[in-house]
Amino acid sequence: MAQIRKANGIVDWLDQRLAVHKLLDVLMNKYWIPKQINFLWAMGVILTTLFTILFVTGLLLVMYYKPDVALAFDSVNKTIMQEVEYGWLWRHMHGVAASVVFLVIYIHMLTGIYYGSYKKGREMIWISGMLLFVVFSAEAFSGYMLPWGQMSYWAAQVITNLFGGIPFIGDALVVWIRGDYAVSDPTLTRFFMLHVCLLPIVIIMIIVFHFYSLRIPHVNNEIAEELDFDLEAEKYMAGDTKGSKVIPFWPGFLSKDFVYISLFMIFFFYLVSFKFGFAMDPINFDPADALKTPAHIYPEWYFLWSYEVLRGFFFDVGGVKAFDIGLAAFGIAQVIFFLLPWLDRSDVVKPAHERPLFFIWFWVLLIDLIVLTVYGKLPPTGINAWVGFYASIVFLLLLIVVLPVITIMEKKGAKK
Amino acid sequence: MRELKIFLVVVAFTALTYWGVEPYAHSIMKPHVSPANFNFAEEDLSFAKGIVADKEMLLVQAQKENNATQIENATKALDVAKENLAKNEALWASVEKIDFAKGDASKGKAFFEGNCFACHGLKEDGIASNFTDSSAYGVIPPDLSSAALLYDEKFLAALILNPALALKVDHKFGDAFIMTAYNSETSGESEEIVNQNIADVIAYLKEMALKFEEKENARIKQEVEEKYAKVEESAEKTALMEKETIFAKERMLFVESCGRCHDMRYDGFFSPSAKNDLKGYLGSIPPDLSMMIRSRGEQYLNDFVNNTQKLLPGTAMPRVGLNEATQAKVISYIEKVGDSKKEERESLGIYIMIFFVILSVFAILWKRSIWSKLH
Repeated sequence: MAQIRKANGIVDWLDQRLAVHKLLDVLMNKYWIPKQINFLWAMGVILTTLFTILFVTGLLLVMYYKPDVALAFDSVNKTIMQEVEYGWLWRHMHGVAASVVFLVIYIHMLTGIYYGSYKKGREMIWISGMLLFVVFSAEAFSGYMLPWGQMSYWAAQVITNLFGGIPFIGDALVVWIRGDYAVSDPTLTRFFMLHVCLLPIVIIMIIVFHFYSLRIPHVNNEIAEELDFDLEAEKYMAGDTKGSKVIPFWPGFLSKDFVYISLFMIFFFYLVSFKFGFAMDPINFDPADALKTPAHIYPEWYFLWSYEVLRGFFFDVGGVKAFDIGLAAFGIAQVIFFLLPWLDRSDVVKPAHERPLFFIWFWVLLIDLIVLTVYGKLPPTGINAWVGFYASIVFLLLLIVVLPVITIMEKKGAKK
Repeated sequence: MRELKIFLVVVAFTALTYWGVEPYAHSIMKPHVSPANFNFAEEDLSFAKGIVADKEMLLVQAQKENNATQIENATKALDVAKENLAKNEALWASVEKIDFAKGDASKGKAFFEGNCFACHGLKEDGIASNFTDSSAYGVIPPDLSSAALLYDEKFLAALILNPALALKVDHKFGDAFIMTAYNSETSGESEEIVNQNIADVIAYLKEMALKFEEKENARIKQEVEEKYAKVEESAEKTALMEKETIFAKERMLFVESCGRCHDMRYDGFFSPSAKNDLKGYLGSIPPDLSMMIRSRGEQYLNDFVNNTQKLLPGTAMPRVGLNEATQAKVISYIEKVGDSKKEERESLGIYIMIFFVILSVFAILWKRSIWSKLH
């Protein structure tokens, strides 16, 4: 046991027992961040803030929500929205944060792609991030079902049905997931458990892992400069704070992030109070009705691009059913970003604007994702179906074929 | 400056995505309809003409494709549409001929007692209804005390002359609609007599509606006053009482206009008609309207109440036909029930945003003080 002497204050008392100074050094004061970063690097902290908002407002909502098909709709729309003091505020904060968190995740992801932050040495950061994205998707989907509105019900019907496409076990799997032959009370109850218990625990664990994965390769920077963090940190600690290329996480990095969070919150509460409708489908304010199919069924905006890849393949090819092709493409779309560090084989770690071909690839990908997103909502008829088809093809080609070819060309160019 | 450039790029792509997913996709999925028009003659004729134009286009298309069955179907549909237009034109032309100024309320009462009394009550004048539940017709026939409060004279006249057409349920019930028409064709009387009778009965309804409104207002006033009797006088109390009075008046209009079929559960209102009777009559149970302001929005409700067929072709819900003032109040009531925290949300929202504006200023100052040692 360590030598315990009479403490000269609470912090000292804690320091002798928990080494809080050492802990704060590791977590904050001597956790080094490159100085040359822009506001896009603040997205991580904004995501942490949004997750905290979701967690806290979620706890408040669980106090009044009833996971029962007969009570769920009214417990949300009447009890929480109208009877509980400020229930509407928690609900809107939860709903808007659930939507905005995906916008920020996408910006975070695309930032990583643009600056090559997934490349050699940083693969685990990228993979843990993608894992977070996938679990967040499951979390969002299970949460979307809880108010038991029309779109909740039909989206659940459509999405759970997808598992039926898996060979051999599909049909049994669908029944296993739903807990019944159709989406019904057992489905709601188990999705409630997933949404408020299991998935949040998994998310918190992966967030911790995601943070940890940054420690050894360190955060990338705006010019993808390779820094000797130990050397720069020494410089900083020796007093050359202006000359050092790194800053401590606290207060250097966080003081900047705090500005972005405060500004972001103005926008966030504008949405919460005046523009919450964008995050809540009006159709979901009709109670679920198994006998009445809505005219259009579509997922929330952040799933539209992969939904469009799913339904983009609308005709059979050589005996293979359209549904199966779509499902395979959808499956690929879910996992393909995990493989990014290996699809982009070039050793060059540089921002996209210093890699001409990759630069073009990046913007084509972004536009294609937006096209997929918009057409994922439009009814898949006539010309829309064809736009969706070609955009899906372009998406798959960009990642599976074009990106590896570009990086091979880059490698050859570098050798010359 | 570089950061600002990056920020603008992020904003531009976010805005583009938002525009595509929200306004653009919605404009494609929910085609635009002309806004509610309380001149029902104008509304009905332009709507019927629109359908004729649509059917003409379909016929031209079918002729281009040279498909015999399609041409035949399109021709039939066009004939139906033209017939419907002609019916509407005839109906509103007859309404135009009625001189409402010549109506005599006492003769109207006699007419009511001879013709309308079989189905409709008029509590305001002590005339009890013969039907106290919905088992006979699927819905309780309305008490007409409030009729002239809800509807304008021309709509009432059209409703009497040809109920199925004025209510836009002729596609479902045709001539077999539960309310029989009263016009020279059905009664065998001359047009002058029919018009005079209609003018008389509407004059009577107007007189009753004035009384009805007065009585309802007095009842509401008394109820609100009783509720607040023990509260100390203050500006806050006056404001609250005024708010509740307005709400109660709007609620009364909602009950009179929609309450025979629809519930408003979140305000504790349940329709007196039996659900099964309504289902038998209309084909499905009319939805509860508590959340309609959120699921349909004000604009949709406004257009839908004005002309149900425009937004939901084929629906069995009759056009409500409310006059402009009443409709605004009914929709205001629907909003107050479905979005009861709107005021609180909007005022609190501003304060929260101001809080973060101030916080941002301090955050920027703090960041500057830290980074002055780093740059």
